[in-house]
Amino acid sequence: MFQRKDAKTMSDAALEFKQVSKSYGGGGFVLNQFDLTVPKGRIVTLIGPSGCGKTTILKLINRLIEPESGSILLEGTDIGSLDPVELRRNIGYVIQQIGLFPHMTIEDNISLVPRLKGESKKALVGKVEELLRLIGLEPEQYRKRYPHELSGGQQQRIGVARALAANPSIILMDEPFSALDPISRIQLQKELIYLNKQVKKTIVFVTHDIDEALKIADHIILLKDGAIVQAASPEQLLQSPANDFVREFIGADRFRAEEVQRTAHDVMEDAVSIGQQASIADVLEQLGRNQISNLVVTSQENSVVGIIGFEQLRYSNESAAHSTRVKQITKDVPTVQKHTPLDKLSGLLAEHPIIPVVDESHKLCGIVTQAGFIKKIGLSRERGEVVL
Amino acid sequence: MSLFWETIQSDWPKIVQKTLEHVELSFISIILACLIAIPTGIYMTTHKRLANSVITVVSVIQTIPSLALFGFMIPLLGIGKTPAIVALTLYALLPILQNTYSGILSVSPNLIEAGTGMGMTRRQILWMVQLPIARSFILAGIRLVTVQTISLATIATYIAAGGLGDIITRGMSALNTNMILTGAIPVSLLVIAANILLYGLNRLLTPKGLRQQKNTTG
Ligand SMILES: Nc1ncnc2c1ncn2[C@@H]1O[C@H](COP(=O)(O)OP(=O)(O)OP(=O)(O)O)[C@@H](O)[C@H]1O
Ligand SMILES: [Mg+2]
Repeated sequence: MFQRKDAKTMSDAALEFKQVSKSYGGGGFVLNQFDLTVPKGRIVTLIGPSGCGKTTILKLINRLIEPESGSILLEGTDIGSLDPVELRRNIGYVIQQIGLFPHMTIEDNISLVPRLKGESKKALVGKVEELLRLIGLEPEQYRKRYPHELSGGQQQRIGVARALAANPSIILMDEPFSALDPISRIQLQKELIYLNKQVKKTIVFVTHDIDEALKIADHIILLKDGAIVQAASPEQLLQSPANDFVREFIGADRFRAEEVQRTAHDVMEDAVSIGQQASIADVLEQLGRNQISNLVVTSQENSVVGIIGFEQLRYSNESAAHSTRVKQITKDVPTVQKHTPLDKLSGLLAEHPIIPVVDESHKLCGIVTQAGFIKKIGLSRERGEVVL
Repeated sequence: MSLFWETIQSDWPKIVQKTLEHVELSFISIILACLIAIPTGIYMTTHKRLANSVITVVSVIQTIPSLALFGFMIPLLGIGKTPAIVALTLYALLPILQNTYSGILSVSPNLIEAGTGMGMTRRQILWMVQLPIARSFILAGIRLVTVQTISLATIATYIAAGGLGDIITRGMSALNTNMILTGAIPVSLLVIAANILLYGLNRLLTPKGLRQQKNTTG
């Protein structure tokens, strides 16, 4: 329906609002003579205080609601002239309340739109697996489960996968990552940026979280009471906020911290290490005394040899604890340096519980753990700094 | 007690015949009630103004004493099976209607919105979302109605529609407790059997995702 050919002759806007007004009846307009242009292949985030009309804008796009006046063009075509059912099947939509169907398995939920379009369930098995991997859930484990058997964050990720299943060229997302922990959130944000860059999808993304908006957006539309306060790139928004409302919304503190690129140094903790020659008993004692689950094993020159923890020791012979030297060291652990940026670190942390930080000569100078990472990020968030 | 067994033995063919009549009366009435009440209930969910008046009318039927309702049938439809089935069907409407209506309305608007937003037609939303989620409500209504109809069908004997009521009334006029029991016990057994059957059917039909938890909010 949205063929590139037609679009080119029109404009390179994926989406245009022209003088759109919407009221829910009764008191006043939620949107009044609203104009908006979403360029093709970009991520546009709508952000603003609760009730400013973000969800309303998305629902107008897939015709869940109709405007009182004005027109909305999708790749140059007035959506009022399209069949709403057909239109919606070609727009990915992640609703704010997740809305997974409780009586359908995860697989059936994800494959729903392609099935509506007439594809067979069998042909979609591979697609479902691919999408589950993309959102970081193991297909074998989750495919046959029901929504209530998943955590809120996992359900939210299924909602995202469901919107991607039919391969729409435009995706509307209403606070899709609001229930996620920082690590999965960062991973999904990256996937989204990847999708946008590689597969050239247009994404309209609603969020409350200015950090998120600054991170993923090509364009940020800051709204208040149904009107655009400022529409700009993240850099522009930070450099020249239109007024005090914008400044306050972004967080005044940010203007000081703006240039700071946060690195491993900011989330590092002191390392607890142990020599290569230590016995299992020594390791157990160190783990117990420091209330931790992993130690860094170092050579005599204090360079990193590997990691040992309860996980590795589980298979060792208890009775030989005193005599045996540690053999179960995990050796292929990645290391980072103090200046490694946080986004790289968060990727590594998804797979390793602990990452040693080393200096130029490969000497151990600290560690980063999942718990420490989340804690420190949380703290800096409260201070309102740019996280990534 | 031995007298009771003798009564069963001597009347056995009659008991079987009357039981079959009884099942026939109840079964046809329940099926008819479903065929009328389920579609009406569904229709009412999109025409809420109509819903109130329909439910009021059907509730009024429910308040008519059962014996009287069977009596009203005589001037309209005469006696025999047909008026009995009509009366039983009328009695069975309310629970099915109400459960269908409220079952479908219990489906969270978020799910309807999600479905619509994904490009489901109204019909698809009905068949793929609303009915599966409302199914256990509707089946609960049918279960209730089944119990009620099988018991009520004993009164059908007063308008010569047959069924186990024949045996019971004959026993009553002959002051023969054993004969009353040979009519009453099959009624109870039928009720229990139907109940178990429908309970099993409900478990079988309820999707696993709705079983542990009545989660209709998604
Ligand atoms: N169905 C409705 N009927 C009446 N008013 C509505 C309806 N939906 C939304 N509104 C009103 O329209 C305004 C905009 O709502 P909208 O849902 O678009 O806000 P939002 O920006 O998405 O807020 P949030 O961040 O809380 O999700 C609000 O004032 C809301 O009360
Ligand atoms: Mg909203």
